[in-house]
Amino acid sequence: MPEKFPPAKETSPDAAPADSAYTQWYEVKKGDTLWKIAKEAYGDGSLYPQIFKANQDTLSDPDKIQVGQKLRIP
Amino acid sequence: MKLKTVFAGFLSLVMAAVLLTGCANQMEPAKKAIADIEAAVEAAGPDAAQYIPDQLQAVTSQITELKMKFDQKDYKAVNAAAPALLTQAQGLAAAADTAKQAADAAALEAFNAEWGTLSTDLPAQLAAVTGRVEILSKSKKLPAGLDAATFDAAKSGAGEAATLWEQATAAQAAGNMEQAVTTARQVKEKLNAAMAGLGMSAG
Repeated sequence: MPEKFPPAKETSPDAAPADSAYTQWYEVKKGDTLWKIAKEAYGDGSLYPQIFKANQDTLSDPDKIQVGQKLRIP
Repeated sequence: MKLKTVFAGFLSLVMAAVLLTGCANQMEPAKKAIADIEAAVEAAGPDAAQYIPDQLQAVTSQITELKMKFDQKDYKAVNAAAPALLTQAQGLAAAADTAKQAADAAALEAFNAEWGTLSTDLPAQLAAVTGRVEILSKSKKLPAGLDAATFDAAKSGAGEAATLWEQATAAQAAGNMEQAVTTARQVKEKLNAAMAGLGMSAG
């Protein structure tokens, strides 16, 4: 069940980085999961906590992402 | 009648001698005047050619004219024009120095302005690229469209950019703005290349 995520270990309220012109963004599409997005961006779905950590200001649960939501891809 | 002719001849010789002596008396001052003017131009150095080329050209053209008059043995004209031209030539060094200072100040202002942009922009770009490289280094497999050679090039480019950025900030701290900006431009180039290799885009 790679698409069902355990609670991310690397969490802290201030983990989201400051955005800049170089912040890479991804808009969530239907059927996306953080695992799938991480696999596409990094070639390895298990690196999804990196994306979760970078979006702590808008994500509280890695399993709950919304279509149309814009996520930082560090 | 014969005595009169002899006297007239003698008088001609005397007048010719007086004229020749007069010319000789004016030749040396004219020669020295030209040499003094040329020395004044020489003293202005290469800065004059770089920063006040028009003023330098105006003086050198007049020197050429003086030399032509000298060659035509018109020493009187040379001596008449020389003082004003000497003053003009002696002013070249100060004018070049003033122009150089103005150019240096303008260059420094431009470097400071560019540094202001780069020093805001580059840390964010560097963080984005090195962050991506660090994550990809942990990946078991590179993403589609990114081969190992391209990733390795981006990784070393990011490392070089980080080192260069340290050098740029050190140069800026030391007050060497030209070096700081020149190095920062290299950082920018390396980061842009790394971003392109990694498939990252700048907003």
